[in-house]
Amino acid sequence: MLNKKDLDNIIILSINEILENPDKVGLESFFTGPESTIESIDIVQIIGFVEEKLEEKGFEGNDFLEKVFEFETLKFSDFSDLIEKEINT
Amino acid sequence: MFVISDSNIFLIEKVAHSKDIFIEGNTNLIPECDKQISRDCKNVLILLSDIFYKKFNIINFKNYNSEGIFKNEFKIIDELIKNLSERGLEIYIPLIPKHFIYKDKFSLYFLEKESPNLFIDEINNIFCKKYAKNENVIFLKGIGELSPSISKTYYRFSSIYDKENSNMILDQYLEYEKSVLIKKNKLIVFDLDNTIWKGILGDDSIEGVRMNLSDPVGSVFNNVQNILLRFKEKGFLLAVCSKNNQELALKCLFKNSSCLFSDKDIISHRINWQPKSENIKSICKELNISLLDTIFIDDSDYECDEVKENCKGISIFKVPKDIYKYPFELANNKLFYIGISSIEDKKRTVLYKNNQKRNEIYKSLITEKGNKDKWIKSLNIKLELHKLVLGSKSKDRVIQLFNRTNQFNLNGKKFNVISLNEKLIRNSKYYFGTIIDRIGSEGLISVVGFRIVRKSIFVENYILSCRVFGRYVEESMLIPLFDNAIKIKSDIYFEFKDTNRNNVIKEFIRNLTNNDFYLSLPEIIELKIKFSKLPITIINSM
Repeated sequence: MLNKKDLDNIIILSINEILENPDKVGLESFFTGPESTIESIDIVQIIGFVEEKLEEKGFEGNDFLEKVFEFETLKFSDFSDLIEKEINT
Repeated sequence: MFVISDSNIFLIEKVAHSKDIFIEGNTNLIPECDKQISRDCKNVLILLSDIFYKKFNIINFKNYNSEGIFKNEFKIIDELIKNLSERGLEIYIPLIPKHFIYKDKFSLYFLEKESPNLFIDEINNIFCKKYAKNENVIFLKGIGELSPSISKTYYRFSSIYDKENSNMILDQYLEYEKSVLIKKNKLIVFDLDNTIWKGILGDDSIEGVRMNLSDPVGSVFNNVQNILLRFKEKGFLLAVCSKNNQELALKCLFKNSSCLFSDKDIISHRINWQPKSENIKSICKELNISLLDTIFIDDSDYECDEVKENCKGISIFKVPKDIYKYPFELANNKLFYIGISSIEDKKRTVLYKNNQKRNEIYKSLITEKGNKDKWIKSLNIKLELHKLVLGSKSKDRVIQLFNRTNQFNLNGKKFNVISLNEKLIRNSKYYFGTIIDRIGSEGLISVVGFRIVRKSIFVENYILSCRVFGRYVEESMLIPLFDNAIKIKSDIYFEFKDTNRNNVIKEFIRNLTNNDFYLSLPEIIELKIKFSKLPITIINSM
């Protein structure tokens, strides 16, 4: 079972691993949408990274790529909420 | 670097940036895609994946066994490589990886028939055969076999170049670039007992030492002998240094059916009870090869230590305690990396053997009359001079000579295809010399490069193979330079740079110029007259 704090940590970890300048990005930064400064390559990589971490913790078979792009805009914290909702459904 | 790919390369640029590789642009593999590459670009990476081979005509696959049937499929890539080569660009091609995803009709055909990997091997084989002689093409090992973990990336983006695979390919590129610059050794001196055979000859006798394929330990040493002979084929000289009875050791080495060596393979030997360091120094002196370019192989800690202590700069390879690791460690040690072999490499031992004959003639003449000129005259040396131009077939050998020559190298400059092309395109003039004498041909042995600025000639490069040093070739090579200076009434500056390894040329130029690396016009005229009288025939083909 993963709680919200665990998921936030995974997302922060992905930000630090994937982005070149992670210091300027936090949970309240925009992940997708017109206000996001994250490159599409990095968005995809972050999603892949998070899926991988979830798999390591026993949550297999999640595909967040399509789900993320169902929303016009998402903050990193929204992404965390989205994951929480998906894995606990 | 410019990247041409048949699929998305969404991460290559980012990974390259983290490795300080500048990617100036990328494009898909389409006809005339090379036109997008700027003039300043120096190298191109061509990435091919399943997208490339899935365009192949399926009917032809049934009979795949020659490159002829793939002519149309290779059309775009042939044209691309031709255009890039003409521009003098370095072309890096990682081999096509073996793919785990075969999701269409074509793939099913191969899955039913046999392993699909065979088909990919075949395409890679065709690539290697087609472009092996193209000096601009460098093949990289590539990704090899794709890991199943790539499947998410592959299906989402139709690309196999995720972070891991992009890293792998760019690391191979960097490793190649680095390998071009590493020091390349020339001579391998090896011990005999427990080094090329198992056992001690003096104790075990010829019948008792093991190097035969029929026993496991003997197989290891048989393999080691094979590896050493392969090094010789690639251009290394092999010499023996052993504390042994010479007669017995030579008999075991050359007249024993289990031993793979013949006397043609070994350039020199010192088999006696003297310290090995003294013997190695004597071999190096005889061959005119620096200790810095020499590797010593021995099984004894004591001998390795003695040689290391007394032969400064020599590289040591100690036979591993676990002899089953010996062939692998020998074959894969970077000390023995020599790069691509040229025709000269393959016959290097013969060239040195010829040199030994020349020296024998010299010694006999010196004993008789003490006359070096008579020796040179008796050799009947012909020095042929050629202008080096962009399209010269000898460019490969010129680059190789620059990269191997340390002792007679004006400033230690090393070249690759691009940097040499740049020199030739700009205002510099280069010429090279090949020599032949009554013993045999020495091939391309010297290069001179210079530029004329206002009323002065600046010699920016001058190299000579140390094999031929002392036969008046070093003097004769300067005659065209002097002719140029006399014609335009200029002086000459030698752009010498001390590399700590080029003492031979340093002394030669210092003697020539009275220590100041400069020649005035009257000095040039005097030297021209003097050098023209040397007992060498010059054939000027420039």
